Amino acid sequence: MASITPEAYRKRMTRAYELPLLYMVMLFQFACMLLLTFRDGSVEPFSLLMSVCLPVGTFLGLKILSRLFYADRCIYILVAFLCSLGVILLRAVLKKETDASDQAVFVGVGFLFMLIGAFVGSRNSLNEKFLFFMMPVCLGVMCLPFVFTSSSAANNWVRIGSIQFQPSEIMKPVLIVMLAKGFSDKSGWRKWIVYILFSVLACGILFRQPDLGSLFIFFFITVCMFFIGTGNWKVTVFVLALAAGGVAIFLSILDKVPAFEYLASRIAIWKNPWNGEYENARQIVQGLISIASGGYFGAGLGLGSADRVAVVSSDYIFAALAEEFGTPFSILVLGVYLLILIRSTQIAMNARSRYHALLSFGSVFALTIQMLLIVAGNLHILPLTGVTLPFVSSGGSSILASMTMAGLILGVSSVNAEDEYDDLMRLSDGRWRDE
Amino acid sequence: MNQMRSAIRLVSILLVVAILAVSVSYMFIIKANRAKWINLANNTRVQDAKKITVQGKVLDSAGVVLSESSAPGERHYISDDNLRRALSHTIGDQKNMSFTGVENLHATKLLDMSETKTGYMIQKLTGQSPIGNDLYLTISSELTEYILSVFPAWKSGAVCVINYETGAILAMLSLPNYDPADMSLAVQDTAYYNRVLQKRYAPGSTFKIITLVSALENLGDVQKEEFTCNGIWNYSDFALRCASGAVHGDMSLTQAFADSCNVTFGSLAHRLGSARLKTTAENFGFNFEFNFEDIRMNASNILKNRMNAEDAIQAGIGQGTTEVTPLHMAMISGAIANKGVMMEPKLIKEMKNAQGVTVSTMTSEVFKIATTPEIAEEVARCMYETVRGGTGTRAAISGYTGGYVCGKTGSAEWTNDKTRETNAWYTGFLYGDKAHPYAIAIVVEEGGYGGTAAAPMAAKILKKAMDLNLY
Repeated sequence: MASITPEAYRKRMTRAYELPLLYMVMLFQFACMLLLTFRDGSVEPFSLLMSVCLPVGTFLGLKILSRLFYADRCIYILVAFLCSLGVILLRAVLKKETDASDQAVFVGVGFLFMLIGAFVGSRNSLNEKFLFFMMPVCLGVMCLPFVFTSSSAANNWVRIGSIQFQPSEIMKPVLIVMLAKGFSDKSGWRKWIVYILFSVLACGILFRQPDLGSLFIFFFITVCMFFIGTGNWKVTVFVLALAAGGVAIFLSILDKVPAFEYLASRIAIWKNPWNGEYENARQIVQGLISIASGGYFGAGLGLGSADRVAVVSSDYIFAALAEEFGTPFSILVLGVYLLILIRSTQIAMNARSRYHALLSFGSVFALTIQMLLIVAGNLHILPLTGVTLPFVSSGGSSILASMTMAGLILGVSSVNAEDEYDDLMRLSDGRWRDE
Repeated sequence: MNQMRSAIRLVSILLVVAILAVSVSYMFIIKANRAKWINLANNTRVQDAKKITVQGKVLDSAGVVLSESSAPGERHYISDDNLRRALSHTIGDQKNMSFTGVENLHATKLLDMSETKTGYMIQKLTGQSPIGNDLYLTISSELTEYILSVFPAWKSGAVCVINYETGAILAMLSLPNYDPADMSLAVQDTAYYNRVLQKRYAPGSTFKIITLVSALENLGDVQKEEFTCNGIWNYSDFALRCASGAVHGDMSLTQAFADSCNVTFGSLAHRLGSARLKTTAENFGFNFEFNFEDIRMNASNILKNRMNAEDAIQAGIGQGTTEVTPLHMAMISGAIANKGVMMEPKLIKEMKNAQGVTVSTMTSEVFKIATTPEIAEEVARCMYETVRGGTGTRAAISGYTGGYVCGKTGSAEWTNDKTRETNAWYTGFLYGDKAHPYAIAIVVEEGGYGGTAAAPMAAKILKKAMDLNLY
């Protein structure tokens, strides 16, 4: 472990664009919240508070993170941008203030989870016996929705009293940690089978609920991490082909199986939302109208009508983004996810152990796949799957899970930085520090 | 570790490509559909904007005000009942019952819902209601009123007149109509339907224009052939007859067209086969989801599901599952008149903002190159023969020397009920008249024969258009 001081790290490892990026994001947060404060002509206390809290919180968070870890600050700043974008959008679009204030609280708690994730990411892998013990516990947690059923048709929420959470979201970082440990182990199929079995069971539970969006994500995370960890082309391609075939068969028998009638109607509505019954296709149609209403500069913060779209706070938050800020800005937001992907890939490539590489890349893969699913759903390219837009969508479980995964990536980047510093010091016989 | 790195690299590239693909499709989807989606009836933003913005005026090509507002949320129309009703489908309405009217399709222009939100800001700053843009249409209200006056009373149908060189729509009429000034009045069934743009009719013999083009394109020297019609053609187990039992005897291709011989054109379609006939039709815009800027028009369909020999024969004479909208038929005629070039239909001549400054003007665009100038000329010759000595003699305009009156009649079967009359079709154009490049399409539902019910109307309407000196 290196014994570098934070000052030395900052002097050596800072990239020139980090500070301007931070200030731009802080300015954006301040400006947006200020606009929302005076939206109705009078001063709105929550927005005014947020116009100070968001930038200050981002700044302090970076300080705290830097003290504890040598983490990649660029990723932190981008994630902070996305989180605050979520708070801003929820305040701008929804009438109820509590949606935005709840989100702000979750973002704050999410920061803690990010630190936890960074801690886990910077350690070497966890004890395997502990992981084997956790597997049935996790599966049990995922089965909770069957016990504590919630209101919506897709049974993936757990409501205990006034607390509501989504186990499938929280399981994502857990799954990634487990699979990273499992597939980085070179001992072979006997080990891998255990982890694959765990994943299959988890997918089975999701299928039963049915939470097809999460199923899709879990499946792809597993296949991806298997491929990267083992390098086994044939099995990967075979499994993908099997899945594709399975989906095709499933779709063709959909009409005949009454249990999946809900799904069949969802797909029919997706195929053609314009004719036929508007009521069922309302969400899709209003979502597309909302996106189209954005134009080049957006409807103006707080001036759009995205709240006409059903479940806009989580399912269609991207449409709200496009309407409030305009199409070019929403594409820029896609670019932010792209940047996070690229940075995290670099971190994975620079990782010093197989476990760390799998951990970081698995996390960014999960985040990116989820983003693609929901954006394609909003744009009517794919059927809507009810997953959330990471960091931006409302939903406590979603924020905490996404922050944890981001934390994992930051943790790995921290280890990378330490190792890199060690190398540089070693190669230059200590002279590098003084130059 | 290196193997892992290359795997990571591979997957990350796939993800990057996926993100880029989504972004690019995003831009294309929005570009193609934005105008259409914003103007949907379900878009509440338009209704909200109507509460604060004074809608702009809608005027015709001569500057006559067709509808206007003096305050947000209200609308005044022309005081003349007949004229107001004649223009109802063109103008649209305030209750979003019309799918294709200007006030519905172009509501965002009339409300100036542009991107910069200047109107909203003006209102916030000055307390004045923002005013939307004025739309000057290509339509002539006088011609539209005249068309209503010559259309057979108590019949449904559609008429449209276009300028085939520029694509401008000079008049549109659909019956039954409604009264945009009083939407609480009871209306006939399908009154809000704009038959010119939305109703798909079997074209009947008017489709022979396309069959003829296809024959000229694919069957070599078919113009030199001699055809014999015995009044009936027995093909496998069905019998194709000529209209009203006519027996045409020996004739040239031109005469067969002018006399609208089903036997000849049925056998030509049989020789062409479904594939070639369908290709020619698609060159004229069939089986295509139109995505025009100014108007919304349903697609015309042919030979979509079944393509065997019998379907080809039926399609060749414009029956079977073939269906076409009246405006599309006018565009087809227009393409023949315009050397094979089909222009995109335009409805908005000019848009001016509240200060009177012209914001945009109409630009003519080519929609499709349907066929070659040589073939178009040959077809125009046949269509001239139709009016000179064939089924369309009543479309001739007496005393007209500026060009050639060309046309094609049709009497389309639309039901198996033999007690009901056929739909009467006429489509045609003025050929070679630079000052009056008009094409017209008329459908009179259950009007009987195209030559008697529709053709005379065309003569009157085109003469009126010339008198009004429309371009």
